[in-house]
Amino acid sequence: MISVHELDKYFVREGERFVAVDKVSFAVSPGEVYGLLGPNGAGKTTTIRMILGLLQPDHGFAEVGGYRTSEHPNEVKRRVGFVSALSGMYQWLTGRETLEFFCKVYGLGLTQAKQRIDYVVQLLRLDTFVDQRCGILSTGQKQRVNLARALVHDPPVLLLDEPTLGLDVVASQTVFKYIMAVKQMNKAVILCTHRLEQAETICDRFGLMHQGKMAHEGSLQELCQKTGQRSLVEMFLRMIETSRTEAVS
Amino acid sequence: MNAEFSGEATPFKAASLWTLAFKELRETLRDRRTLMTLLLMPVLVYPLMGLVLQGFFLPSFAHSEAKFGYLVVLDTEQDYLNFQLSLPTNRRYAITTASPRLPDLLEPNGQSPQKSGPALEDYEPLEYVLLEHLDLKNRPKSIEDAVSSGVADVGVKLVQHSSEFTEWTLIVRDGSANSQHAAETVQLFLTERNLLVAREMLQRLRVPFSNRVGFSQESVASTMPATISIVAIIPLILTLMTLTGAVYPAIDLTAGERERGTLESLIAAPLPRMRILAGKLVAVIVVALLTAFLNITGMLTTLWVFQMERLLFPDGGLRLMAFVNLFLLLIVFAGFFSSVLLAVTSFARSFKEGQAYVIPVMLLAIGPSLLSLKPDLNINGMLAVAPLVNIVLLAREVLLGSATLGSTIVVLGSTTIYSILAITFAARIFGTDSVLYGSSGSWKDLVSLPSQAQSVASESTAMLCLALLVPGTFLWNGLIARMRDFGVEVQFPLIVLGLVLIFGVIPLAITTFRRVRIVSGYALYRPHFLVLIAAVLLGIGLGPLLSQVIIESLRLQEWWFGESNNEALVSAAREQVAKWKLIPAFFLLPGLSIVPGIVEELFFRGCLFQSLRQRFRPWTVILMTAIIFGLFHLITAGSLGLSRFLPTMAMGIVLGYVCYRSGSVIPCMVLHSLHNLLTVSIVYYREDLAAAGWIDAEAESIPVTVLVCGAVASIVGFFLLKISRPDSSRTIPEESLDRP
Repeated sequence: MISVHELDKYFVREGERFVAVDKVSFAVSPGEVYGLLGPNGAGKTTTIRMILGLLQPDHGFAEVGGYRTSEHPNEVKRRVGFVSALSGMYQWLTGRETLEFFCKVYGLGLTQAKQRIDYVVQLLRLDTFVDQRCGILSTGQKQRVNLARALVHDPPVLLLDEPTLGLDVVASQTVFKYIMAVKQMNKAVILCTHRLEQAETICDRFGLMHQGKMAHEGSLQELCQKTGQRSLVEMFLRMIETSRTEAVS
Repeated sequence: MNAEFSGEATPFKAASLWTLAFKELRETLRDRRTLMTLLLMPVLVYPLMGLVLQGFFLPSFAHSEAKFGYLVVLDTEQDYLNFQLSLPTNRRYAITTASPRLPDLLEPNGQSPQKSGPALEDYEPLEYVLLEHLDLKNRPKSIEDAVSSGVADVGVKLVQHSSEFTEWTLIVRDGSANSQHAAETVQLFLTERNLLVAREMLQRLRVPFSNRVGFSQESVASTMPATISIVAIIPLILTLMTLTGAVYPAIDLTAGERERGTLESLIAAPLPRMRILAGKLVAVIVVALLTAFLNITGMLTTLWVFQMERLLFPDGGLRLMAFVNLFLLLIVFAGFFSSVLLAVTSFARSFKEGQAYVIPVMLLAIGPSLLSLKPDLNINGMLAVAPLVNIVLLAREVLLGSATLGSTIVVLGSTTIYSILAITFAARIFGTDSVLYGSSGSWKDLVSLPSQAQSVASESTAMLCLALLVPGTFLWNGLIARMRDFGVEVQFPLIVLGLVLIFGVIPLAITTFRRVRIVSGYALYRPHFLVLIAAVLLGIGLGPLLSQVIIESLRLQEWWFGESNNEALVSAAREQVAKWKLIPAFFLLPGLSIVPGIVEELFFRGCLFQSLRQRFRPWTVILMTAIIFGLFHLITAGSLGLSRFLPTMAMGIVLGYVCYRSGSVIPCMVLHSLHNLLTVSIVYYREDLAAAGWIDAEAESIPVTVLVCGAVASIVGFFLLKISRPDSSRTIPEESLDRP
């Protein structure tokens, strides 16, 4: 469903070249949750943005449902539901109005839109606040509306970039339950998160990124075998320690 | 997986413009900050201003030239009745019992008018009132006080009255032409009354009477310098109102959207960027129109409530057609400002940054809006296509009823093109990598020293240089103008010094402080010899071609608009050249050609071009620097050097292309200097060249042979540039640019 081929991205800041993503490749199948993990600045968000076409890669390409992002950006965008830590809400629209707007944006008819809105409202239990103005909702409620917004057009692919950032334990649990639910719907999901314990339980495979490169890839078991560590947390710490040692030497 | 997404690409209808505009409008109009802007002025400010105006200023000018007619004040009831009897009985007057307010009207013989009676204009410009009926807070104590304080124009006092003779004294305000005219009008009516009585007596005696002298009146067009009409202020009001209404939604729907984090969701949706911007444009225009409409309604209602509409519309008050015209003009102003503001705020990454970008636009807009106050400025030539200036002048002419169809089409057509260009530009910028994910800079970025040397100036550094060049040039030009008494011997070295300081020393000082490497930051690389030859050929060949383009465009504008000030321009230029001839050619020619050629290129194609190349594609940078180059010459040329904009911009495009192909600023310096040198030399030696038979001093076109030679030289120059390979080691690789 999603395939990424040797993606490169570098930026020029103050006249100097800075490599953000360096030859990253991986693939995600329908019904699979792929944990794209790594410390801050590893290049996860840049990779996700390139898959969706929000950033242009300098080399390589990404495909969603057989469509290359660089050639068919709108076909890719139609097939993707996207939630990022930066996603905000229209403060003066209600949750329902926001969902209605995105239904129109994604080309849903009136009847279909109503059915989908009723479905996501029920799935994410938005009924008590969906008719309230988004500006007055709590952080957790806003994120639930955001997740509903990403799912309202029933996309086969979900890109979730730190969807639990700033949420408390209960709200985070809601997000993870949501991911489990969409996995059941046979959707391909890429999840970037720093909640490694939860990631271990819901992700089928992992890509560990560090300094723009894909350091390790595979299932939890495969990663444990490759790295000799017992958990993702240990793998992270080891990866950072190694890079520090290399930098000093 | 959803079946709809499983197969080949299915037909997909992106959300309509209305869907996007409706969402933007719904969100904007619910925002209480928009509502404040929308309603505060019309509902609160105008009535308050009306009260202040009425309370403090109205007594002093309620009966000035703009009122119904001259106001005569009388002391007693008896005087009032006698005065009425002393006036000719065959005329219509206005009387009032409670001034200031619209007067009651009086038919001949003291009858009240019928409901469908004559129009106000049919009444005599004379209104008389009893002192005690003046409805003012501080009513004057006597008719002398009323006249001296300006409440009344003339006082009328009864001296003696009998059945045979009534004598009046007219009290006039010393030194007031208005009061004197009022007294003369009263005298005219009293004389006419005597005449009527005399005629009646003759009729009674059956003595035939006929007029010995007759007269009539004809109007001719005024050739005196026009005076400023109150209508001339209306374009400025339209500018301020539409700007006020458009500023907040323009920032909110672009920078605000980015700041709130909703922009990413919108860009991640399958929507053409142009449609997103068009939806936003519709929303901004609607809010700007609503604000302006409510403002105008509030203003006119206030004027009407406080009976002051004649101050603004002295000719019979506000008419429906004027209101319709105002509204149509509002649409033009709102469309222009909304698109320009969206283009500007699309760059911004935060609301604060958006506000910082918008303030200069607002200040810049006020200047051209004031041009409507210049009565001799008409829509012709470049002014018909000059952004904003053209719609300001059109607004004035529409309101004065003097707009022509041709000029209206040119103005509306060019303004529509500008708006489309602005929105296309905004669509390219809005939601790009740098706006979506770039961090906002701070003042600290400008003063902090980078940890390592920079190969080119950052955008903020280049923009800081540009921001200092404009006021620097204005100040220096002002200084040179103040030195005119010292003659060109002092002015000339100052001009050269200013060029070196402003375009050379300032950018070099700033970029050195910011640790920019001089060679790479200014592209001071040794050029390929082929490129140098190309620069020389273009420097020689482009001069006649550009000059002919200017001549043809001036002719076209003369033909289209039927008038021109070309001769005035030519004679002013010749006068200037005569003065410059006091300076030896050895100093003058390099000072006015080679020095600007070198230092201007050092900044525009050196610092600025190299900086912008970090983010934009080559042709975008070529166009951007060319427009800035053209605009710079436009705004610093004094008295709006509109004629310089297009040729300078065209030259900027050629220079940018040379810089791009060669990767060096040196060929640009050669081309620019050579072009200047040839132009200045021909002007300087014009008479000598004509005497030697080289040129025809009276010719109105460039000779065909010269044009052909110029074209051949330019073609060869472009060909040499085309075959020369750009040096890739001197430029940032294409694929690494963080550009939209």
